[in-house]
Amino acid sequence: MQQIGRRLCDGAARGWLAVCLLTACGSGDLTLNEADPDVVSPKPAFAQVYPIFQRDCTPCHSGTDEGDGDDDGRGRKAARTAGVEPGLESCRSIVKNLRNVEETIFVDNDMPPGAWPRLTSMEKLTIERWIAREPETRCD
Amino acid sequence: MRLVIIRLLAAAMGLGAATAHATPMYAARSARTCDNCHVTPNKWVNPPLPQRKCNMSCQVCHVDPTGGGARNAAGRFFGRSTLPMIATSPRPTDDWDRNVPMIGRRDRATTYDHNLPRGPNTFAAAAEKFPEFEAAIADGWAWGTPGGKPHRYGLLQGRYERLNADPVLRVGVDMRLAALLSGPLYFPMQIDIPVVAHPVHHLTLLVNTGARGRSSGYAETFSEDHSFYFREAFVMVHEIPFQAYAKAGRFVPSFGLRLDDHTSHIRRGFELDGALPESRVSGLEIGAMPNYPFVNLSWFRMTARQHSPNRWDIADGDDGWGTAVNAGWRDLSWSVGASALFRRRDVSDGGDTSSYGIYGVLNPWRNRKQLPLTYQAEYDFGNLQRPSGRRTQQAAFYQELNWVAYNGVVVLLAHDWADPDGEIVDDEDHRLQLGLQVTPVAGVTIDGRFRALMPASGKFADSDLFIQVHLYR
Repeated sequence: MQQIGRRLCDGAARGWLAVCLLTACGSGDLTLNEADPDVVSPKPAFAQVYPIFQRDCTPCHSGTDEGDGDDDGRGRKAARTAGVEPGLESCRSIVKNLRNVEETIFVDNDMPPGAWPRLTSMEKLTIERWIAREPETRCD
Repeated sequence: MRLVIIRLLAAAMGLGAATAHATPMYAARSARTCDNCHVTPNKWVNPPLPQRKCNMSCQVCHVDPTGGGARNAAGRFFGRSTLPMIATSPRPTDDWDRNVPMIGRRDRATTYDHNLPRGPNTFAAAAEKFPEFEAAIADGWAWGTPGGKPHRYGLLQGRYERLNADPVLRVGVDMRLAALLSGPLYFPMQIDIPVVAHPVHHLTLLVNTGARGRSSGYAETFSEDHSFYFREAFVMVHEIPFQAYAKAGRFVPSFGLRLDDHTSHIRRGFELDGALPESRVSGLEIGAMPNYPFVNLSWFRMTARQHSPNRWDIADGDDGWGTAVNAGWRDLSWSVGASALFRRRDVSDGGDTSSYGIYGVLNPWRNRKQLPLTYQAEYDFGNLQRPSGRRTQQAAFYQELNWVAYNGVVVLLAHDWADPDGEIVDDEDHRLQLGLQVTPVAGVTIDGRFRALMPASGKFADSDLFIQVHLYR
């Protein structure tokens, strides 16, 4: 996709103005970390990460997945009937499923699913830096 | 695994709670014939320009002059006569031969039936025959007439068949349900309950209470338990010359096209996602639509970025201020417009934004009956502050083509794109949609769409297929 998109955009830059207008190619050649390293706290707290999960994940991944019998304090169990496993409504649940979360966000870039808009650069950088914290402090 | 993916797709669509309004496409299409918004009496007399209520702007069909939500009598008439496969108000003459084969064949017979009241051709006729027209009203969703008499700047009884043209009280309902064709999930997307009080001429109070859903129902969304809230709540002075108005309360600032697909980048990327409470602001808006120019200007206060205002306190929002202007020209087969929106907040509350948009609509159907196409497009750009305080640029584009195959059957093609940060690599995406919208009867629209997202990074593309059932009165 990247190659095709860039080819389209390169073509547009060479004079395919109509193509450029129709496909409206983007610009930029820096990662957010390079362009504006101060945009996100160097060690974001979970309180900064949680709203991202609330907005883009827990509508489907409701409930928690911390272990048998755990709930989110409101009596909701890990695997809710209408929700999708794993539940991601607590820090411990996210940490427990961190490998899947990382792969989904940073490698496949396929969540939220389908044609739903993906996480923004800033949301990704926030999560990336939160994951980079010492494991024992992630949920502080 | 497949079941999980299907559920994910379906549940994600639960977030796609579209706001309850028609699209500018309806307005653009409606210019081709007069009798899709009201009955056309013989010997029609155009009123003087200051008194004209027919144009291509939103207030022709909606109570809110900037569109969306509760429909007035003209909008309800359009929804009964023109939108559906089977009309329950007289079908526009131009559309008599556009029925789906074997469906809606009786539509022609309903036009100008001698048992129906024929609309007044002047305000004088409306005033003279008011008791007769009022007696003929058969409307289960609207009651009374302010002051018991018509007003020359209000909608006139008798012109909208048996609908109450100018009610004291109007109640509506707007609900969207979603389902995945091959999946097991059926769930609510959104519900709106608008109540419109119009106790005296020139004054209207609109309160629209709504909620958006998710896979587990109408439940909490963001940082608080947040189901029902005032989506819109304002008091409005209107029914004055040149369709001018002033409203004060909670609303979404007028900017660009009023799309019902709130997930589009041109709305979501500019803090104008109509499904979210945090897109609401509190302020004052004035405007006028003197056929064909239009202008809306607002000044407002707001909450911090991505922070919801209080559910019921419509004055809540002390984190910054903003202003918006939306103006242009809406002609019979084309329209152009431009918008600007400025937000001023502390960096910690989301920072400053300056957004600009240009848009246009083309409706060749008006001039060529064999070409029932309508096209609209919008390009938005501007700058915003990152949380670091540093400024950057953003841009988004949307275009949509509608083909009205038959009465009540519309094929849709849409494309949107965004570059949310002009300095950052691989953060843009394209989204394509192929849709079929079927409106079998008034108040029921079934919208099926195949959507494909092509992000600049990660997988080549991802797609979903869903059906939305929209019920409205």
